[in-house]
Amino acid sequence: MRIVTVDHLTKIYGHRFNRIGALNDLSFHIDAGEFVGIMGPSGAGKSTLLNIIASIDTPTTGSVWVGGIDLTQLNDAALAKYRREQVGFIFQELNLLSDLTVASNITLPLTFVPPAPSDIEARLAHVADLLDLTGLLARYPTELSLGQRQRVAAARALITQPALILADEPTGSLDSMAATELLSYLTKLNLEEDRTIMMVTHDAFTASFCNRIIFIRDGAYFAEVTRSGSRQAFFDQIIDMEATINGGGKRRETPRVD
Amino acid sequence: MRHLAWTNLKRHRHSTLIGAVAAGVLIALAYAVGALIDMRPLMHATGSVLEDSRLMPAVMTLAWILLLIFIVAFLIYLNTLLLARRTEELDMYRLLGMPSSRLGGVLIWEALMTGAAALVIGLVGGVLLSKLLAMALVRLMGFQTAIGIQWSLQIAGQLIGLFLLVYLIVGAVNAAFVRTLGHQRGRRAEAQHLPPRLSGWQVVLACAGMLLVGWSAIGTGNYFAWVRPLRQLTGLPGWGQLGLLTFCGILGTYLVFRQSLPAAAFLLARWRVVRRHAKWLLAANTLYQRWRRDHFALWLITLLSTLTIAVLGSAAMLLQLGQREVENSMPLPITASVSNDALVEKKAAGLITRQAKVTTKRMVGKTTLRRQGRDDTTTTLYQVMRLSDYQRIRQWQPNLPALQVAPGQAALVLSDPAFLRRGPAQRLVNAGRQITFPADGRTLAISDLTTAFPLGSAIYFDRGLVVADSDFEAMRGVNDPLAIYWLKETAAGHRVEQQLDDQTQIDYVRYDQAVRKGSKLPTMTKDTDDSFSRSGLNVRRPMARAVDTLFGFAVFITLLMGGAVLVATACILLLKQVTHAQGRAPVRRVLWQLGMPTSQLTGVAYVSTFGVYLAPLVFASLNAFVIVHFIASATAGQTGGLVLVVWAIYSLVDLAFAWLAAQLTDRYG
Repeated sequence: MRIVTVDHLTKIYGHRFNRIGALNDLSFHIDAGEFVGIMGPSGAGKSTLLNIIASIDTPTTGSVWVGGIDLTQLNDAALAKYRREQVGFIFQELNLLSDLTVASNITLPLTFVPPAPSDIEARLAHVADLLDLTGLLARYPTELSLGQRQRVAAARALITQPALILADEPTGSLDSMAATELLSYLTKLNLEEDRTIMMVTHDAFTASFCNRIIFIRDGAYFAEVTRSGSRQAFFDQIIDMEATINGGGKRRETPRVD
Repeated sequence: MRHLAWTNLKRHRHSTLIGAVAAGVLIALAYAVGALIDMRPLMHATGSVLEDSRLMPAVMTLAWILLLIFIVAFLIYLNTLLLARRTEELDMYRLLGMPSSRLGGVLIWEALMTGAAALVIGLVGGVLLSKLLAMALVRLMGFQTAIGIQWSLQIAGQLIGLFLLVYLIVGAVNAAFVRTLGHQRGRRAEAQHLPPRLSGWQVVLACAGMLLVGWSAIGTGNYFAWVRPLRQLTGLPGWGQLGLLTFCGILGTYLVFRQSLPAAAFLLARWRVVRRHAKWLLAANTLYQRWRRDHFALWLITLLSTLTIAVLGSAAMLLQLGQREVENSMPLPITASVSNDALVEKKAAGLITRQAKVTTKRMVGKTTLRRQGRDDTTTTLYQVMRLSDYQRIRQWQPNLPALQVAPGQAALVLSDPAFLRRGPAQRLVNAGRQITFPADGRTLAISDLTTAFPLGSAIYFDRGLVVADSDFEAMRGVNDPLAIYWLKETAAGHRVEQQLDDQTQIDYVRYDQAVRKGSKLPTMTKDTDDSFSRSGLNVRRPMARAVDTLFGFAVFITLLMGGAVLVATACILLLKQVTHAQGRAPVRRVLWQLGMPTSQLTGVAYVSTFGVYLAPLVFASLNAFVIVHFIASATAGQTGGLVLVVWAIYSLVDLAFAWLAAQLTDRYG
């Protein structure tokens, strides 16, 4: 089942005499249950693409369909409902509210429009168990490590049981151990909970946890790589494609990923 | 340096604009008051009514000086507030290597530029405001004088010199502050992200705050029977108890803002129902942060608002009291005793449209009355009046109540309302008591009591008595005829009234031991130690005008000062609110990104903003009500009507500022 369809998407910033194209006639689709990575050089338009799919930004032309809904046709209220119910967003900056406990941070999206669902406690217990946060629910974000905070952000994105999880450089501010831990949790979500995940990253190691990578350059579709064998082989494929996209043909020495 | 200063001002344009406009409004007020003092025709006109040409300019000058001191204090506080929110930015300049002397220079330029903007706003606004203020003063004092726009170069020059100096000093203080920045860096970073906490001690202090405020209010107002013994436990005299209660109120209010309100918000945010509604949860958390962080400013604003509402309320109450006093003491145009009849008839020859005579009798009487739970026996001078004369006077003086007096009975007229207390079934406690007259040994039963004197209290020596006509004829007293005059409502009539008012005519009556025993009758005498006195000639219009002028002036001064305090406190809250909103903008964006509807985000902004504004208003209103009620009990005033109107206007203006702040919070957030 097709969950995301990006159709001839273009985004231009600036005014008439100083136009900067962030996305240029980009088209692709994502099926339900996929774990898709978006890669590309800096300024390729990765975050712009994610923001448009999250309805945080609007396209100049083209359209985005998520779960059969054309986002460009929705009004402000409907877009807020879409962000609240259809999408879970994991921000690079975490964006946790420091004056709310971990539990309140996670359940926040469920309480935006009353009445809150009756199974809110059960949902909280489930995501806390899934992301190993059960013992941290009464704490405040400032009392957690960076890796734990990122898991809280992931739990907040998950609790609404969205059709699509969007992650913008989720490991960008984590050390390698915390990053691996988070990616393992995302993989678990994808495999065990059958969640569709779309993750923007510039890091090949992070991308190797996905099962398909879409490369974009200068805002346009460039290529894609699909995992067919081991993660190590997939990592090598990603590195090769990165070299190609950056204009270099020489293959680099690669670390082991397993 | 100037360029960087200008860039900084533009970066902080919202707070700069609010600060400059607030300072401008206050400077405009200062200019307008200064210009009023310079308005010689107006000062001359008030002097003629108040019988002292120096009184009004002196009081106005005092008010002006107080206003200037208040404005300078406000500007210094405002500067502290603005600077505290810029420490990170200034710290960054220092970290990037900008010399402290250069950064100090930038801050001085910023202060001078802001000061210049405030002065321009203030002087332009002041010229316009001076006319409005003068019109308000003229109306409140009941004059008819033409008022134009007032341009006073002298006042403008004084204000420019003063405020440029103040802004220069403020800039210099800021420049000195820059040198201390590095020492505070670590502590500041720690203090910024403290999560909400509530310890056992905080709960104790929170409860103590509420108890102190409650006790201060109940103790000052003496609202319950058990309060007096508790107050006396301290062993302090009355004023000492009052001082202690005031201290309890001030300390309690501080604790309320420091502990009680944040604790309430903390507990609210943990309530299951609130946790399930993001709007209320976020508003409770915002209020916790605001009340906790700004407790000192909110406490200060509450004290200033208390003072303002109490002073405005008391002024309104005293104005009502003054007007009621005129109504009670001189309800008719002219009343005169027999010794002044000839004077009135001579001066007002040809201008009298109507006149009437009423004969009263002066007698000494003895009675025992109950007051505040105790029986009190008094022998004093009574002016006795026929019931038929009383009925006749009621036609001209409609505020007189209908009295039930049968032969052998008397209705007592006295000034202290405490004697009119009613018991079960609304029966007067003092009804049925006896009054005895030593001169003829007669005894009458008191059937009714009132504080409304027929012909006005000014024409009485002490108490009045209304008796049945048959009793009046039989009573042995000295006849005391009184006359009432109505003059033509023309300029000549008014002029004669003014001339008559200038003639001070005091009647004295002997009240020695023999008179008290009844062996002699109370006859007219010269002023001695043993005598009663009254005003023998009472003219209503000049007295009413003097009261209107005096109280109108008092109301004007209190409105002026109250307005200045209101603008200052509301602007401080507005500025804090906008700064807070700007700081919370990223959180608001996150909430929007997570799918919180815009209406709910607006709801959070409104609930939290009104919470911040309402807390000082509620506590200030409570404190002010207690103060006004206390003043009312001490002066026999009444805390209704105009006091409520003044409070409602103050609250509406405050809530208008709250609405504006909520709008800005919603927009800038």
